[in-house]
Amino acid sequence: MCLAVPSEVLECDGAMATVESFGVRRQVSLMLMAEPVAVGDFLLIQAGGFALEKVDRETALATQALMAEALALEPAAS
Amino acid sequence: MSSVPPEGAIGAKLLVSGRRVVRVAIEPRKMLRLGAILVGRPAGEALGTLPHLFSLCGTAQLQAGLEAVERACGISVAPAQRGARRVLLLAETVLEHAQRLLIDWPPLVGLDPNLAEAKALRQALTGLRGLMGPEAPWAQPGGVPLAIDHDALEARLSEALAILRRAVYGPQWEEGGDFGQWVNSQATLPARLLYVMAERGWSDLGKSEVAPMGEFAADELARRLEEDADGAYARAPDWQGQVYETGPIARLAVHPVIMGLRAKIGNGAALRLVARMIELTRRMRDLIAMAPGLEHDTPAPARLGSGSGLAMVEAARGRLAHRVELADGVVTRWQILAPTEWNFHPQGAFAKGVLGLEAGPDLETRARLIGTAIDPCVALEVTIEAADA
Repeated sequence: MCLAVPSEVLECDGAMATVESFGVRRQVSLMLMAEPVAVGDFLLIQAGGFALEKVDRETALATQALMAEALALEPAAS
Repeated sequence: MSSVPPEGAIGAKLLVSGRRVVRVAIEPRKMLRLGAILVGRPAGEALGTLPHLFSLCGTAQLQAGLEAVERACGISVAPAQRGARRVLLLAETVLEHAQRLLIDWPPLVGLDPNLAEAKALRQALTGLRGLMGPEAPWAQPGGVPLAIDHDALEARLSEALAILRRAVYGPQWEEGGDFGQWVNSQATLPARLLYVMAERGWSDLGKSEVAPMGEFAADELARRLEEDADGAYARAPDWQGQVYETGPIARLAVHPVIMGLRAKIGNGAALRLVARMIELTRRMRDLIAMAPGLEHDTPAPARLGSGSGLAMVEAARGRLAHRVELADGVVTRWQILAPTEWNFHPQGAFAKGVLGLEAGPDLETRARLIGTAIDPCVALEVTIEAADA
């Protein structure tokens, strides 16, 4: 379903960034980003590990809250 | 801490015995109950969340949701709105296909991705909404005020076409032309991809007997979804007991080049790449043909009522369906059936395509190539085990 989880930038070295969402950290490439990225920005990540675009903080947090709501509906992991 | 990305992943365990993959266990991605969180919200608000939840194929998701709501409420949509939506969907498909060809496939055959051109294409083809009306939200049943900036739109499409010509098509690409010559030219990354796959004997990698998806009767699909109380159907769908493949290869099932190649090499990786190339070419041509005819429009505000509606949209990865039930404009049920659930079904194109693969040090790479060729919308995690372990 091509879910796009907004991920917060924790570290950034120009070409790569460490991002986090829902407690999961990962390294993503910034090579496809059209605008500069800074720590604290929220990014949308493609399945291949490329950040594609920035989302504003308010939208990112609202989207994460919706996803958290959906996660809470899941039965406990077996 | 879990290493699974929050959007989920598909797990594929290949069980090997006697140097062949003898069994494939698919662990479907965990499906977030997104439909459930839309329940109780006014339909307009629920639609507004779709582009944020599904930003990567947000146009197809929003359009499927919008059309489902419009059908549920009997809202008619002006041709100008349909045209604008079509152009946005075409642009999303072109971009998605190009990203697969320029970014995702090359590393699987030892080639470098072409990130610079992929990025340039992304800049040309995203944000087109802002040139056709309000940047956001487009989540209004009945449509949004349209004010087309034709000059800016055409400049963006010309730029996109120029990028595709130099990075994807190359001088010898023709939709129905001499395809072998194009491959041998290796003039662009997709041509080189096919050349390298042929060299390695990988052209038919992932072929299977899974049939291409044909037309669905909307009433019948609506009934299957309506009866799907626990979501089991949306997780592992079938059509009259069969699992089909959806996506470019199915949409082009009767294209002469695809039919000819399919008869020769089967529905493996090479055919899927060619189908994506042909579809990309056609969608880009449609985009350029349609854009000048887009018209201004000022829709009257639509009244949302009660009812149920199903919409099917051909997204880049395949057929996407949304079904909604509304009561006085408020969502009482929202269901989504995505193409990945067809293509990565335990009996689907990926599972059948990796079955029987020869074991070897590059088995994981070959399985990943088959997965990328079929194109999941989430990460694919391949593991290999001995069948008797």
